[in-house]
Amino acid sequence: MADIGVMGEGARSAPLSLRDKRTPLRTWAGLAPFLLFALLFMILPAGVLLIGSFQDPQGRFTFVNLAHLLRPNILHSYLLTIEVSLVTAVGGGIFGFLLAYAVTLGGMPPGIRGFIVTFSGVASNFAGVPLAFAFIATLGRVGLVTTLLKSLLGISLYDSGFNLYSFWGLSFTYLYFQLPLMVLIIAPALDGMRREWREASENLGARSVQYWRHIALPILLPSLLSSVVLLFGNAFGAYATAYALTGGFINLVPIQIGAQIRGDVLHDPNLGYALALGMVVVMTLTILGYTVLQRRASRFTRS
Amino acid sequence: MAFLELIDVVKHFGRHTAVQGFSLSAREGELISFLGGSGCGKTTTLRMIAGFEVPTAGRILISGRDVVPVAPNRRGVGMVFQNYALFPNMTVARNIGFGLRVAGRPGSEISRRVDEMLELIHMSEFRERYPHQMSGGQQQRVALARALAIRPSVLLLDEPLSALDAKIRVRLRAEIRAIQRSLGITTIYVTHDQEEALSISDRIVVMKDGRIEQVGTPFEIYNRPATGFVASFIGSSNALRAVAVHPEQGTASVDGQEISAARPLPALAGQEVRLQIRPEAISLHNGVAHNNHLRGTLVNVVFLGSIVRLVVSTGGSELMLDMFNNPHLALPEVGSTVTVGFAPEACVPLEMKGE
Amino acid sequence: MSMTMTARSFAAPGAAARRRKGWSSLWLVLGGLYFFLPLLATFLFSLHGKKGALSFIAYAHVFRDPEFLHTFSFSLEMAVVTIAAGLALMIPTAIWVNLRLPRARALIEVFALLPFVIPPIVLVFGLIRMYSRPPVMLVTSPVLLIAGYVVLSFPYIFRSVDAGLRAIDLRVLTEAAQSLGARWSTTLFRVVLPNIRVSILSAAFLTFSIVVGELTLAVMLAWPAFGPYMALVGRDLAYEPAALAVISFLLTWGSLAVIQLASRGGRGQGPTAGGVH
Repeated sequence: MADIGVMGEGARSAPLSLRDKRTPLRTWAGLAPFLLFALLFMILPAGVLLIGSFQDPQGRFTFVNLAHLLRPNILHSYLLTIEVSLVTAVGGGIFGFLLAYAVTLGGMPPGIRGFIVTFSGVASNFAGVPLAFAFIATLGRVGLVTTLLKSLLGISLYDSGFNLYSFWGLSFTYLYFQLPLMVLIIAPALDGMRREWREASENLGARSVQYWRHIALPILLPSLLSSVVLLFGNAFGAYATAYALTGGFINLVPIQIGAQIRGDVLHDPNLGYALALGMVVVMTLTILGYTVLQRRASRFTRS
Repeated sequence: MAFLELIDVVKHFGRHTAVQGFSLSAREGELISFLGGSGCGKTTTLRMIAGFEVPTAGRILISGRDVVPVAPNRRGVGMVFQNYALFPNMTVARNIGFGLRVAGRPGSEISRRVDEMLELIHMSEFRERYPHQMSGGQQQRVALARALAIRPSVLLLDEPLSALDAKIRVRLRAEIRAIQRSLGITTIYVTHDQEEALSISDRIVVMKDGRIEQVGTPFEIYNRPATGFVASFIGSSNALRAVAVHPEQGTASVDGQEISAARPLPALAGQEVRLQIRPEAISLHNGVAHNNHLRGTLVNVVFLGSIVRLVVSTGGSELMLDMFNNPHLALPEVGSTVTVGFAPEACVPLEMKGE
Repeated sequence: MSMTMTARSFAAPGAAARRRKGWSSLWLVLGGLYFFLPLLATFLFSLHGKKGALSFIAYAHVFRDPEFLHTFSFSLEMAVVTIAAGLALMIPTAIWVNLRLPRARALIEVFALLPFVIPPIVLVFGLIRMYSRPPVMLVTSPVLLIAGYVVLSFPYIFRSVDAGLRAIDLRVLTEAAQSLGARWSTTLFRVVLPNIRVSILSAAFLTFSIVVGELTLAVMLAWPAFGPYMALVGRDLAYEPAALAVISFLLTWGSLAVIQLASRGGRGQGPTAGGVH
């Protein structure tokens, strides 16, 4: 027995029928809940920060906050954050690429690839406080590896200048989620490297090095670059790991913003807004760079 | 003198035997097709010649020199792949010139050779195009030019036309053959399309389950198939059911009518045999004395354009009979009794199931 | 006849592949070391709670700490509510996109970039400033925290559900249901949702692992969540943090393992990468 159902006017009734030709406005109305959510909890908060960065505490329009961004302290923290992000992006990019290569084209047994990909999925999530703890337990002052090196090989890490709670220690920790992310992003690109290209190049007389130089790297370069750019952004915005590892004592931009929020420093929220604005600008540039490079990468997979 | 020689080549993949006992001598300038269905070992054998697979046993000689221990990038064979494998980041010119470039040839020489090759495939205007800007047929011609640019001693083609439309395939295979002939280059051509193999080859190697079934010219393969497999694989044919009478003498009976196959039958007296007969070998009302004659009923007449195909039912089998179209032809009526005739030599016994 | 060429030839074809495998094994081993040593070290470190012997005493301390239970159950609650809210928001949206407005998918993907462009630390800043004065004083309500969590997780929820809907050919199914006389609610609950069970599960577990370990939003909005609790423990104690890290890792791994197992049953539905740090 056919129940004709709730047929009637309005966008809410019979929303699953395709045969009605709704006006575009009504169709977009279906996205209203999501758009409202995005507006309320993403766009407007960002907008508040944007506007606030051009205001002084009394609400008047000013560029003062942006000028304050050029203070040595702030400039230093931007530079430091950029350095950390660059180092972990390139480092994670290189080693992530090598690992991804090993499990895709490198002739490893097929089961290994699945395992590495799954593990990368987990490891790229394993950031923040637990990750910091894990590295403290490994390379902290009384960490396992630190004590092992001292007792087994007589090498004292911390006396030779290594410090987990420093730039290099932090970078080394960041790699733990950067590397797997690289593996996950670049593996599909490596899958797209057709076996016949390598065979054709061999057939035409090229050695391995020549294959990489003339064919493989040029084809992979856009994907590699776009992935490194993404990794850069990933590290730039990271807060929890740095906070948990260094207790907020490292001068990164996210840490600065965190301090502003809690009023830990000179209570100058407008400077905080400017910091936040600066960060959003960096992230936007990152995502633009990533998108542009990704488009170039897909040129080769089309043929 | 054999230019390319394979001697007892064997290839095992673990427990699976892909190629066994493969021996072949190819003269210089010959175009030999490896023909067979999937999994028959034709591509594996080709890849062994190219060096992408290493034979488990056997030798492969090019110009008298054993190339098995030689790396694939040092063999001087040119390979054309099924899906073109053009380097997507390079223009046509750079693709074609790649082999010379990695060999360190001077730029002027490379440029000249590229122009030469473009002329050969009639694609000079495509010099600066990228692969993704070209059709499949164009890409394949460039792939051919790329393989030929390095002046290989042997040219290998791995199902080069399978990925293309039927019309383009016909045109391109003629082009490939013409180029091959003009250059006089020894060529191995792998295909599963028997029409392709028949139309362009000097000789055909029919393969099944890793073994060679028959080697011969297209004429020989088609008209004198050595085994039932070759007979049924090549061209269309009839399978006539008969009962063996005197197997050693090759006589059998169809519904009581006696016919002769002019060769021993693989069955005992009284057992069923199946005889393969080409449709064009059968004719209506054949008056030739020593031919076989069978009476049957005409069940269908199919007009195929230049060919008219009659279907005659006799002794439990349906025979297809092809004749050239002729507007003045007076054909018998469907349902009427007809007599068909065919030569004894035209009957090839088919392998029974399980043999 | 002449074998002079072979003297100059490179090693036989098999050798190149073997060399490649050698390097690959090296990268694999190095990578394995880098990833497993910290995990091993953390576990071993967590067993050092008692002087002189290996024991699980650090874990005992953790589990007996009332704050542990308090904060963990709080985060658990938040996770459940976030999952419910996120699914309630994104499932209809994904269905709408698949059925009526495929063009919007690109728009939603742009929005999905926002949690990246506006990292959690910036997001929480904006949320606080916007909602800490009348008329909308949300900053003391858990609603704000949950909203923040939904912002962090909605890209994964959407992609998971969307992938599932595409795999089941939503249009055909709903048209079939309609032609048999079903109302949209019946179609939704009896036809669509059961068929994207795996995607929903996948999204739920991913959201769970994001929320439970999350620090930035929770600490800035001053909620007694599991993340801030762990950070606090890290400041004061030595071996308990390692135990917490192990527990946290097992939880994350466990959730993702559940997703992997569950997605073996579904087509085109599985976990996605990334996370929050």
